[in-house]
Amino acid sequence: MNQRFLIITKGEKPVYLVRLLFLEVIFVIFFLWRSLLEPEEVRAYPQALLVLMGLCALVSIWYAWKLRKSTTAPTDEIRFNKYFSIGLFFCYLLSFHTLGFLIATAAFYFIWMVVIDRRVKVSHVVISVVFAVLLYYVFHDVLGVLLPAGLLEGVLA
Amino acid sequence: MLDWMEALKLALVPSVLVSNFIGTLVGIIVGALPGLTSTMGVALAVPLTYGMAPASGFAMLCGIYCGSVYGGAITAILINTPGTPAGAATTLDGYPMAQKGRAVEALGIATISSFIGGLFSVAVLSFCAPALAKVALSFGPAEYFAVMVFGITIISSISGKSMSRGLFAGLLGMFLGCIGTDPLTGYPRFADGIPGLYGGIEIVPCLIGLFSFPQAIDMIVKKAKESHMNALSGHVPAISEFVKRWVNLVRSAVIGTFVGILPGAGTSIATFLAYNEAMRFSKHKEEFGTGCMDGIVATETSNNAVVGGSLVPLLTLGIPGNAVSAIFLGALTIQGLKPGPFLFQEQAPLIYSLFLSLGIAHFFFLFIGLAGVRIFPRILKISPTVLSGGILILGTVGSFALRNEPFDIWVVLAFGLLGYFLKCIKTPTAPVVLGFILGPMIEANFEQAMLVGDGKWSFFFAKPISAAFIVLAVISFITPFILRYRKTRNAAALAEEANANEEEEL
Repeated sequence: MNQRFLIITKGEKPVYLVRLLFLEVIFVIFFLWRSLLEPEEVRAYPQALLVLMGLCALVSIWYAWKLRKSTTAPTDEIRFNKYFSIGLFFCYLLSFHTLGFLIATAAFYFIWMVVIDRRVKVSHVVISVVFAVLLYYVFHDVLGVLLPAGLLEGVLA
Repeated sequence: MLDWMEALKLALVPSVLVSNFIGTLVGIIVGALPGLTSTMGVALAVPLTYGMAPASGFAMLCGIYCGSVYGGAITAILINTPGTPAGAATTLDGYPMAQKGRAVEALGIATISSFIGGLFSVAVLSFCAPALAKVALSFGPAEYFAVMVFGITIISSISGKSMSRGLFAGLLGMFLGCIGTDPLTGYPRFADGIPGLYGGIEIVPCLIGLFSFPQAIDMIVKKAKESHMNALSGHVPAISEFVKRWVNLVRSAVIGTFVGILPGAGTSIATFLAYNEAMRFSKHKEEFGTGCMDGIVATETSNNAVVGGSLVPLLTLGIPGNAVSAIFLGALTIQGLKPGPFLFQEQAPLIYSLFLSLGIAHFFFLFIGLAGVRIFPRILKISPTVLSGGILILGTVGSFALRNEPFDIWVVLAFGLLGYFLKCIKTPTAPVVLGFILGPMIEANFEQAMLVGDGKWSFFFAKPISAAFIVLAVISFITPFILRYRKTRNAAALAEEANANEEEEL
């Protein structure tokens, strides 16, 4: 029996995995509750999918639990880079309309490179500004996409 | 024959060839950039064709269409981010091959396979279009439902190490696909008053989020070069390698062309179907997903084969099978042509010149693609910090550009986090994509079939095509489970035997 588990989950970190897999169960329970708020005639299909998803999630947890070993905590640098990148991207999307495409993109790209490389270089400034302007030209002027001008509304108009 | 000679004269005029070449080049760039799709590329070029001669205009559109479908493979292989939905399945084997330092080889396989698949479909379009269009019309909701169910069973083959997690991912894709307007009642399901969700989630932001976001995070977390430094040292496989795989090539081309002919089916479905069939008939199933040539051959042959197939119902019956052919319909109408049964009688030389331009566009992208196999991988030499930030920005602006909808950039983040979560639990993202594309079609066709068949399940088995596909679907779903069971049983038996031998020796 153990041989089967070894083939399926070889090289993984089961305790960490079990914790993550519980998120699947939480997702399923939340949307099952949420589906009750939908009219009866449209909720049968999503509910059927959610029940099947729940079964798959439980089977995954059971398999992962069978082989639980130890959890491995990522190093501080890796953890910082991961949370920083997600947080910065979130801020970029928030500022996409308020600051405008050009400012938000140049700022996001500059901060991204500086923080991850842990130093400021002239090339960071050049790359971020040139890339933002080039994309603005291609998408706005060539392809006709209405990119948000934001703070530069008066200048770009 | 005289019509073909006239068409040849039209298609080989230098101005027509130049517009065809420019279209192909632009198409490859559009296809390679995440967020820009074939539909967008062709739609943007239509106004340019107003002032052109009809043959030049059609040549440019043909070039963009072929080039963009092929171009999606470049970024799919190099940075695990499909430029178009058609390239999603190419990430399964293309990216692992590039990771092993064989990016040149992967790009070469994609280019030649796309060329072969595309030319096959152009030949079918040129000589068998009317007959095949009738077959496509015989497909009702029951047949569509059966084909889509057959397509969804591929999830069990592409689930990776853990079947339960792969199935969860596929079901999750189907669930996310059902958000938005219910096909029968029109009720906006799970929309919660958010206008961006009423029409459902767009596939392009979903793909960008699922593939490019986790990739970008992974690049900066590991701070490693995307591929080995010898990425440029490989070579394009010899023609004999493709000749050896002629069965896979023909099978994938047939699947692509046939799916292209079916109105509404889509390129992504063809690629996943071809991939699954290539895996099913392969003697080395275990190599799929690890950078296998057969995997890239199947997906790239089939996606370009869809191009010719999708124009069959349009030109013969006047029915556009997908979004791109709907734009082609507009372009044909603007030039004073009426797609339908009489088109081949009234405008034969012009239509045949369109077929020839479509064929010539394949030679152009073969030339550009093979010339670029050592140029495109240079992107991997860029610092991972610069590359990852660029991927995120390009993905965001590409998603926004689709319909100028601010909601779509948040879809990128949401699906990006989902993709990252799936990466953390070592689950492939391809089943989510497959479920997301096929789920809504399965539901809509099922409901239509139940309405037509008075709510009787037997309706699906009363029609030979749907019955055959349902049987195939059951076989396709169960086979990977059986193979896995046999594999584990054999491994257990071997382990027991080894233990017994050790005890004897002691």
